[in-house]
Amino acid sequence: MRITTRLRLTSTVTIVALVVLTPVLIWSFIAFKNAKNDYVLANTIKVNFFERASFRDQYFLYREDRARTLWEKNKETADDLLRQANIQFHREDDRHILERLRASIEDTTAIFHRIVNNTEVLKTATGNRQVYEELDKRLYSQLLMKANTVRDTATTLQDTSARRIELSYEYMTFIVGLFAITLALTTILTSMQLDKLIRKRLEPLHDGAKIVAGGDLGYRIQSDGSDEFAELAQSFNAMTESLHASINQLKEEITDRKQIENKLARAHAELELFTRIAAHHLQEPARRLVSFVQRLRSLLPAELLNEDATASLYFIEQSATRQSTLVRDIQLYLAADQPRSTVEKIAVAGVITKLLERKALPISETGVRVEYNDMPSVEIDYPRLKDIFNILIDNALKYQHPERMPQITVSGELKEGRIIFHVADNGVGVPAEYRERVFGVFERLQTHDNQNSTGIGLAIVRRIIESCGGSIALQETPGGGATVVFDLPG
Amino acid sequence: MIILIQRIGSYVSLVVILVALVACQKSSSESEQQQSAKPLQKITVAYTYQPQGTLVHVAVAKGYFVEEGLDVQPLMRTFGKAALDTVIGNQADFATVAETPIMFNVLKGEKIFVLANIEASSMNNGVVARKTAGVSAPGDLKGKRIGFTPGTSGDFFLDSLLTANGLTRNEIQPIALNPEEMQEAIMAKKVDAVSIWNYPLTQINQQLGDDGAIFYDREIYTETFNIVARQEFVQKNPETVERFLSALIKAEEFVAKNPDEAQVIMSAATKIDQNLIRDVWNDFNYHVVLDQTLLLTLEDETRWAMKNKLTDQTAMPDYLSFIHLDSLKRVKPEALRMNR
Repeated sequence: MRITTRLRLTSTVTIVALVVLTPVLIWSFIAFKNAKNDYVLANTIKVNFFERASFRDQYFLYREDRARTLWEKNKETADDLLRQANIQFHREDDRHILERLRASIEDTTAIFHRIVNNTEVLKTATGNRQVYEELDKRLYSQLLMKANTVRDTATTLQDTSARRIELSYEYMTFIVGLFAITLALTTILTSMQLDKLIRKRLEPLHDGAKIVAGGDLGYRIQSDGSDEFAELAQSFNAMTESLHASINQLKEEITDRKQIENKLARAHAELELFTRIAAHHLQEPARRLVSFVQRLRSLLPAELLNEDATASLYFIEQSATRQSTLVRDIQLYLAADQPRSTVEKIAVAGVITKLLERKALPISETGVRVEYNDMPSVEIDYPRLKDIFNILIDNALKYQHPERMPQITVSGELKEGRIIFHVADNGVGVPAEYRERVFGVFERLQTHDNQNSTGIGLAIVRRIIESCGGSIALQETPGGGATVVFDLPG
Repeated sequence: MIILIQRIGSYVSLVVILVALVACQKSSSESEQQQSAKPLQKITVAYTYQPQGTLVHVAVAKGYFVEEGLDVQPLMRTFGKAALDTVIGNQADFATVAETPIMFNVLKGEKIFVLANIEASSMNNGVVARKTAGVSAPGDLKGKRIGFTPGTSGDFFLDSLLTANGLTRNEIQPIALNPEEMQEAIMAKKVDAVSIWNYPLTQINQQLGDDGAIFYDREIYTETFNIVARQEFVQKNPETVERFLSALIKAEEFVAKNPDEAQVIMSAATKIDQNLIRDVWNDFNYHVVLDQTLLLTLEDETRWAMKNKLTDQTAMPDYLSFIHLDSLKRVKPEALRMNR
């Protein structure tokens, strides 16, 4: 049976029990209230009797009309109470008692009236006065007897009502107890049933999950039955199977990828080695070309160094120098993704200060104003940090705006463990469509091409920054110019 | 763990309840066997064919005495005073009797106990007269020959009726008669009226037909009928007394619930016409009690007896010492309505 069906069944049983017991409980409360009201009325009737007995005795003492009048009024109250009782009491036994009570009260009334009449007779009796005096005593004695009967009957009515209060109270207590026991039993039975169910059905699931979590993806939980636990076990088994298959596939992919990465790493290493060797070897002929051009210029006689020969030698020398620079930048680019010395915390301001000292001549010639503040230290090797700012400041010096007083501002701030740098100039700037391309290798802007530029500088900077987990972008400086924004580890 | 303890607790409770039930059942059946095995105790009860003896007749007919282990030997008498005499004479253990003979016997110094009042009525006694004797109202009794049984409730009622009508005994001609002589005496015109109780009261009135005039006065006298035994017997046989009263209480419950059947029983036991029994049935309270009605009536009658020189005693006896409360208190406490 499904758990939801079990729970629904338990709820239904509980609700049925409540529906059955609630009216009984309400009925018992009403019965208790009625019994209490009956008792109060019976008690009032008894109190009324004692008041009447008091007026009776007062009358017998001095035969005053006042006492007789009060007795009569009290009797009227008794009649009202009996009428009320006749409406209120419905049990046959009670009605018999009430009838006896009514008859006894009527007996006392008749005797009392007879005593009153005899009292009037006594006022004028002469010859047979003793007889009427004896009659007075006999009547009084009878009145006492009947009054006792009234008292005893009223007491019986009161006792009956009191017993009914006790009974209804006991019944009410029993019903409330039954109510509580039913609820408790339902709760206990439900708990026991759930406990049994959990022991039987949930524990294999729990144990199975632990085994699977321990790494045994081949384990399958038993899924007998048709309840939610069986469905959960089936789903869990399906999930485990799927997971098992995925992990196997992942393992295969990881193995393949590792093989590819190894191949790639080997190829990259070979290529890098080849490139380094090639660059080294390309550097050497360039240097020799410069050296031999300078030697040839000094050895050739002046008559041979005409304008054409001099220009040719100059171009050979310039080309060799440019090739050398180009090879050097390529070497720098290739080495940009690896530290070239110890990685440590380095104060950026100090690096910039040294660079500016080296560039004092071009700075003074162009009148550039360079501003930088005391920036946070970065964690990097010194040569690459120097390369970054060297390239960026060089670019700012190269691409000055002809109509603006050149200015370079370097700033840095710590943000979430990274130092965000801004290197801003007020130079010619970079059109928006070229701001990504300028970070490519050998990319130079035609608009302000510079023969001294190799087109690798920004590519070197980006390679260094990205190898440090950062990113770089080019923005327009407010008022014109270019701002390079990048981040390095703090 | 808690569930296990609860389960063990439930099983233990169940076993305890079962053991208790088996033990109770065993004990109950053993008790019943002992009761049924015990021989019945023979007792002699002197009672009358009057309506006041209804509870005794019913208890005998319904076997309530036997249920209580008592084998009742009936000693039938025509009126209560004669029944009491058998107890005084040690011929019977219990008697049913009105309060007037009890009063006279106490005044004579008899050591008796009233055990319970089994009937009370203000309409049982009356005076039935012949109209042709010139009696059509109670006041007409003046100077008439009136039959009565001395020392009985009829004696006291006659006096009360006369008093209520401004007469004294000196103003009539009292004729002492036994109850069984009354009918013949009035029919033979030896008397003009008789003071008697039911059933003879109604029977005489019916026999007189149109000539009969019957006078009640429910406000002047309340008769009580009682169970009386010798003090010595009560003290020696308290259990017997309680069982006797228990049987009467069963009869009381039966009469209250089955008045028609009780009337049939009475008719069969007394050979009285059932219509007559039914006619007077509601004039009586068939109950087993001890209340102040008996005490007040005994004292009223004692004063009457002393005033009329019907006794040598001049001091009011302590009637409480002649009323045995303990037995009824044990059997039916709520029936005790004096000195509670």
